[in-house]
Amino acid sequence: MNLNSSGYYRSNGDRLASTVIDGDAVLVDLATGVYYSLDGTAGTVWQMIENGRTVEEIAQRLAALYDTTPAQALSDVESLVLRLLKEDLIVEAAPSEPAAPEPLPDHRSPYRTPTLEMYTDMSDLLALDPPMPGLFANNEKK
Amino acid sequence: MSSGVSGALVSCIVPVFNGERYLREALDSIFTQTYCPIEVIVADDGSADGSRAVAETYGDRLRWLSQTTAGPAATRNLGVRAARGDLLAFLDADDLWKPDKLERQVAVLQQLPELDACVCHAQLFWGRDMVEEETLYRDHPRGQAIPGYASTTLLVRRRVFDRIGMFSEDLWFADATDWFIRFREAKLALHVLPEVLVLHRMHGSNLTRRRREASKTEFASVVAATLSRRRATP
Repeated sequence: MNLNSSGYYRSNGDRLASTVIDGDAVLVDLATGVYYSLDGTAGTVWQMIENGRTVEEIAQRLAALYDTTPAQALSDVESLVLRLLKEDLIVEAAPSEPAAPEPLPDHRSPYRTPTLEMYTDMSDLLALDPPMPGLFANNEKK
Repeated sequence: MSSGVSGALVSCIVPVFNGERYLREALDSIFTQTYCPIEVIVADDGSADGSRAVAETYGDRLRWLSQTTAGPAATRNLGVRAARGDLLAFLDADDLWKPDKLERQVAVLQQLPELDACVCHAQLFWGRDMVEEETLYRDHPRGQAIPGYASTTLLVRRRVFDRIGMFSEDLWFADATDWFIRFREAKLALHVLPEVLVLHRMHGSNLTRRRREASKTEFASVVAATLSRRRATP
């Protein structure tokens, strides 16, 4: 699987149910009932993917927000994005509008390698009742 | 109604909201159960259609309860509070039970008193006007027989509601999933029957279809809350 660090990605929204609480993201694969957590730095990466930022932009922002080098941030974001692609949690997307400059914090936060945690313990519980994946991408009723 | 198995009274709770189109089929699938004794409670969530007229054709074979619209969980709870049976079952007004659904489940709970609840498998089905959609899901995991962690597949001892509480009325979509998660967290005992005894109807007005994004967010939030509780437990 190839990664384009200048390319754009988006959440595989039709297949996923997701929420972000206090900066941590939880994703539920509606097809399998597997769910995932993206905590701390990983939650930051997830929100920037959803906001249409490239891998390079995300890494730059991560290095500005957290105590890490741009090279380390880029390597880690690339690894995480590859994992997200492998799990079908994101897909390639059309280019977004350029990001508006965002303010920098006074202090950079401690850095932890962004990781994706996968859980299968509720696959049975999530197999029947959640909304069906793939049905209604273009015709949702308001 | 024939009766292969009899014993404890089963309260059959049918929550309905503007469900006149399929309600008769649902009720008929209850009244043709091979198990008795049963009581049937239709819990109405402020329907504005002809649901009540459909229910009234069954006379005193069922009880009709009504409330101002408060959501599916509150409607199920309305039925739970009114139920007289020691065993409770639920059927959404657009779904169907197979005739031996209660008989099979009651037999399991009678044989194994330590069990708190029994669910069966469920199979989705589509109406004749949705053949294209049915074709899409023929080979999909969600198109197969699925272990039924949903209210329509459940037969549960009343005592369980005293132990883990009612359906959460602030949830409109994921209330049953949340309830089953609490059931599991309380380490209660569940048996899953391998047979498909419930048919879940896919149609243009399924709640999770009409309000898809809201339902997705709610399911994700329930999972996130579960993860948070687990991490907070030493």
